[in-house]
Amino acid sequence: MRFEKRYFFYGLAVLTSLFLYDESTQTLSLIERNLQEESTSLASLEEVPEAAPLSPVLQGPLGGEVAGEKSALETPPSEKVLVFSTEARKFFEEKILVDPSAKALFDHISGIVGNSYAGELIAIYVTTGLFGSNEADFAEYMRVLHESLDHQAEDVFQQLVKNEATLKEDDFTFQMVLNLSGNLSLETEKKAKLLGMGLTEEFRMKGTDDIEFSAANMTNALILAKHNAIPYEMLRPFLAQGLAATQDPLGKQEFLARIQTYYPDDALSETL
Amino acid sequence: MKVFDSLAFVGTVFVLSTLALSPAQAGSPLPCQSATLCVHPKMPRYAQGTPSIRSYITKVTGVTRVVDSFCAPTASAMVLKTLQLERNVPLDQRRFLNSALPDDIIFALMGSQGTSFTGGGTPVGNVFASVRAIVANIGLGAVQNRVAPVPNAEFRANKPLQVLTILLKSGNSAYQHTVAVNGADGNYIKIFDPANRVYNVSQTPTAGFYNYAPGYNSSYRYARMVNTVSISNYLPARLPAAACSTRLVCSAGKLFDIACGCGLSTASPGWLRNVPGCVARPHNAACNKAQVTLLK
Repeated sequence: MRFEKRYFFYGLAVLTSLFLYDESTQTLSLIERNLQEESTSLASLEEVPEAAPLSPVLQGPLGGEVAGEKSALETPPSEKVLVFSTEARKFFEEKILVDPSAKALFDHISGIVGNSYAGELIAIYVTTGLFGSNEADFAEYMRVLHESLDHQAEDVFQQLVKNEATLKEDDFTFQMVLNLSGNLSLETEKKAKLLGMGLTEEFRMKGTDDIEFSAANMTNALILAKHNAIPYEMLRPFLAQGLAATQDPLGKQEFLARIQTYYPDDALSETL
Repeated sequence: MKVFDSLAFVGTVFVLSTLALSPAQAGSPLPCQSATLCVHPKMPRYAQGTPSIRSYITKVTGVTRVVDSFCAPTASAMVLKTLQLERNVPLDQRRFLNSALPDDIIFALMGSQGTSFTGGGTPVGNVFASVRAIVANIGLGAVQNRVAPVPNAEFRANKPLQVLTILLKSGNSAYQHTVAVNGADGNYIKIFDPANRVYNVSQTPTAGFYNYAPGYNSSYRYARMVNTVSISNYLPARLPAAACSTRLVCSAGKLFDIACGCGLSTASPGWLRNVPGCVARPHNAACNKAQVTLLK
């Protein structure tokens, strides 16, 4: 009897070790995959992720997470778009670029950001801001465009930073640059830098009860920063610069009201 | 049929998970932030046609060729979620608005608004009917249907939540698109576009059209307001005294007081139902006091 018991425990020990090995292997695989996914955003164009994450286009609610249940439905991974496809390019050229104003805008932006692939994508994105459609092919076009930009996120970031001053010269263009910055898959510091660019200028009033388009863009920058969970500390230098540039007391007051609206706890705790 | 089965499922999950409301929160519009800023800062931004919502639809309905024209339910989801966040109420019995996942909310509203998964599009009239029904269900607010967006002065007074349908010129053709109005930023309407953009649109129309790309003489740049679904006048409805005598503990361990005399409507049949997994507890003093204050 003792002999049989021993074999029983041996068997149990082997099974347990197999189970533990399997679980630890799975955990390591998960960490490895996570690391791979993280490095994917910095990867070169040639690298093709096997199971890339979905585009982070859905933004969470402001003012803290709402208690809720996770959906029972899990979203399967989709194939990530790496290159702005021929179909998407065709859509842009045939549906959007045919408009003379769109063509002029595209040429203007291309002149600013250069002829690189990332630069071209930026010009396409900004120009697409003039356009809208409820057709399925437009939705597909936008999906491809967003994912292509995400894949070039580092180069796009560099281009936007490098050409900040010129891109700010036109308010509509800069509005689209802010939208692009808000949607781009970048690490928080870089995203703060891009959205922070939208906060450093003078907050311009139009009379006493209206504001300039550029000032409305500053509100957009704060909205997008909040939606992207950019910490206040990262925005603080940009906000300080914007306040310093705003000499008009009314403009300063209105700018502060916006900071307080989107970062109430932080804005109340200090005077910039 | 699978769509309706799923919606029926959502509809049958009646849960009364009620948070306490102060009378001020429930009954009056939230103040504007400044002389030029009057926005709903808690409004989330949801995007239409994401891979996740498309696969969600496929999984629930079995439809594989999903045509993305989900602007109306997506815009409505932003607006109704804001109502919930601002008023701190769990909203309706069906609970889908409680979800932190946009897809849950958008999908439920697709059913409510008759959005076609395969043909695309949502009938404009359905947007109003759907939002009105949901708001009536929670008894919080009055819903209006109007053509033009709420003028700035009225907006600042009532701070309504608005789902806006616009007619956009696209070259020689035109199409309708639905967006959420985040508020007023100076004389600009702050638009949360389900196409994943934030726009500043001038409130001053030119020949009936609003230019959403100032400075550009593009044939795409003009929008005409077609329809506005506006939620405002967050009128409270009193609860019967008996409703204040219970307190719910839900299965997740969260403790809720029933709002006492404010915010929740007794006009909507079935709102006050027992929740599976919840047990009644004696009410607390604060709850009783709130009701007494209101009834004066």
